[in-house]
Amino acid sequence: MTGALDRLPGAAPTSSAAVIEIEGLVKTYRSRRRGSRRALDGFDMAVPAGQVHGFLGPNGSGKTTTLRTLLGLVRAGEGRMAIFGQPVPRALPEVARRVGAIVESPQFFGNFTGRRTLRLLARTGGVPMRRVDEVLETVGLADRAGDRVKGYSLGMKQRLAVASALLKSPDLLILDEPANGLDPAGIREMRDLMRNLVSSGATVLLSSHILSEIQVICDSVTIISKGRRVAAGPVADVLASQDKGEYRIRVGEQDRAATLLAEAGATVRAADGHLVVAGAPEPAWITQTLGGHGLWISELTSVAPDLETVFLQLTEEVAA
Amino acid sequence: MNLVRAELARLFGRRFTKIMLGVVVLLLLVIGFGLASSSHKHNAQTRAQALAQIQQMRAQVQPEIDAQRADCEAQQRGEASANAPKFPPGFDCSQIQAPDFSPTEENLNNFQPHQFVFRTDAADTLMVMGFLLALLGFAVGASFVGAEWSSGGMMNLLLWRPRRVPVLFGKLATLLGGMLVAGVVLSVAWLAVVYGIARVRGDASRITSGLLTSLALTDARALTLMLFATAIGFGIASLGRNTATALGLAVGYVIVLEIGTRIVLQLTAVSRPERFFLSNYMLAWLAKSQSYLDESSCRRKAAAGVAVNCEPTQWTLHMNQSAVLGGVLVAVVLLWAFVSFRRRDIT
Repeated sequence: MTGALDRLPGAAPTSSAAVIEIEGLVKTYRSRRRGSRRALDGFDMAVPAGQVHGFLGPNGSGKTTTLRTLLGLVRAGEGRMAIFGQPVPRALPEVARRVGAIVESPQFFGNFTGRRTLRLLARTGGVPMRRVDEVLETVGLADRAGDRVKGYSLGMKQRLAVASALLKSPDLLILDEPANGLDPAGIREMRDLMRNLVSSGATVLLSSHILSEIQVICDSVTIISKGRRVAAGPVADVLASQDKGEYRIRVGEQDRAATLLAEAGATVRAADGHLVVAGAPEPAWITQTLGGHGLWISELTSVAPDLETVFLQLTEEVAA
Repeated sequence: MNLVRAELARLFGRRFTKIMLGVVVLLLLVIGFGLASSSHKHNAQTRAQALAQIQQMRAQVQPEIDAQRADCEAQQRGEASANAPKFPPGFDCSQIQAPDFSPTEENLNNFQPHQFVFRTDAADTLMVMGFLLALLGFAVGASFVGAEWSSGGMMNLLLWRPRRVPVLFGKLATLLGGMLVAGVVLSVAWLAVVYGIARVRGDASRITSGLLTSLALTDARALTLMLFATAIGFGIASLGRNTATALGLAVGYVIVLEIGTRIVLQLTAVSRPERFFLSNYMLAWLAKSQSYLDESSCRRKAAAGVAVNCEPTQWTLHMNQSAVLGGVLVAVVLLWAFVSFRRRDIT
């Protein structure tokens, strides 16, 4: 696939297999009362094909604005965007058939049943009616499809929203906080659903606050803060970029051990009855250094950062 | 076509549309019941009673009138008695005449109970229906798009059909088409009810092709008024992104302009104040024209010292003026709504 952006002068190299490409996106909201606020400030993103791509950011960082701009709901001030290599929003009418999306929590008419809601959408988009029952089954709403939406719980409404996004059998699924209101079983079902979609060749862009969930399910991530990309790439790479090579050790005579390691060139700090050692070339070096002085380690683990830690580090750095 | 079918299903599937249609049907039924219960069919017996009443009135009134004329003539000759009523010198006593108590059709009708006559009264009932349909159209039009905005349905729809102008146009066209069909069905049913009332409780005679054509044109104007109101309700709600904007504006207009300004204009004696109110243009549109008396014309003459027995000037609002005003209003509101919808951020 040749992205539309690749042809633009000065465009940054993007993945040839990127389903979504965003470059230099700027959006400023102007209000007479509140003045102007820059929601996106030169934001870049590339979502590789056939993956679940996590989209992370604190509240107000620009996630929803990015999705809305990508889907033509909000007009960008500057920047270029493409979906399936087609420049958007101009080509949205052509690519919309291949894109299923929920942005924030869509509301539906309370007096319509779930099935009727989906049938109307299917009719609007020219989707075969048989898809309605299929997606109701997929999201686990088949038993309650005849009930009015106003009687649905938050989680059921969320399932209905996901069902509406699945109606078109999309090649690209954009989900903004799909786990809102879902119970643990629902979250697990959602995770399985996304995995199944990806295994069938689709791409999922998932915006969520549940970082543990993102870490489990996503192949790659983009982290946004204050309207700018602060990290992007495969999850493992993003985590590795913030890995400081620290080890947590438990040892008798903790103060003496700290002194010995510091004298040997490591940086040591105490934490919760452990020592956290940084700057050690490898774990064996710690064992060797302390063992040489008759101190024996009872526990040694690598301190690998999780996504939450990385997220907080990156976004706090930008905020500072 | 898919969009139109889906929008039609949305329009008539919504509870608000059903309730508003039900309310209009109920109001029409109440009006029909009022018409039927207040109408009494004329027959030979009521006619004979009217004739007898006319003759009785003539027998009572004629001697009194003759006596008054005799007094007048006596006064003019200078022979009046002291107790007789005074007439101005030179008064033409032949002007003192008894009312016409001849058994004409008009007199016979006046002396019989009220009867609903299809030939003369059906058009008025269509005009009443036109006002009700206009209210229905405004409310349904506003709610149809307003609810989509406030529920997030509009955003969802644009994710499926990311062509803003065709989407809004499709919604509007579907709404107007749906309302037109509903209006035609309602007005035909209403005319049938009115005809039935005339047949059973009044007079349904002398229905000519000319009358039917005239009624069809009145109905067409009533339906056009409904479509205009529907489009304006739709446009305002689309601009305000909710139903309440349109309904609030309508209530505000009625309170501030139709009631408040009317009082102010009367107090300040503005010339032809009726020209400032939409309701008068609506009435003129339905009735083809509406005439008013310009009370201020006499005040102006009085101020100039020439107001002796002044007759206020009559002036008329014609349906052409209503058509121009309505057309401009609809065009401005819809143009504004479409331009705004095309440009705005949907958040």
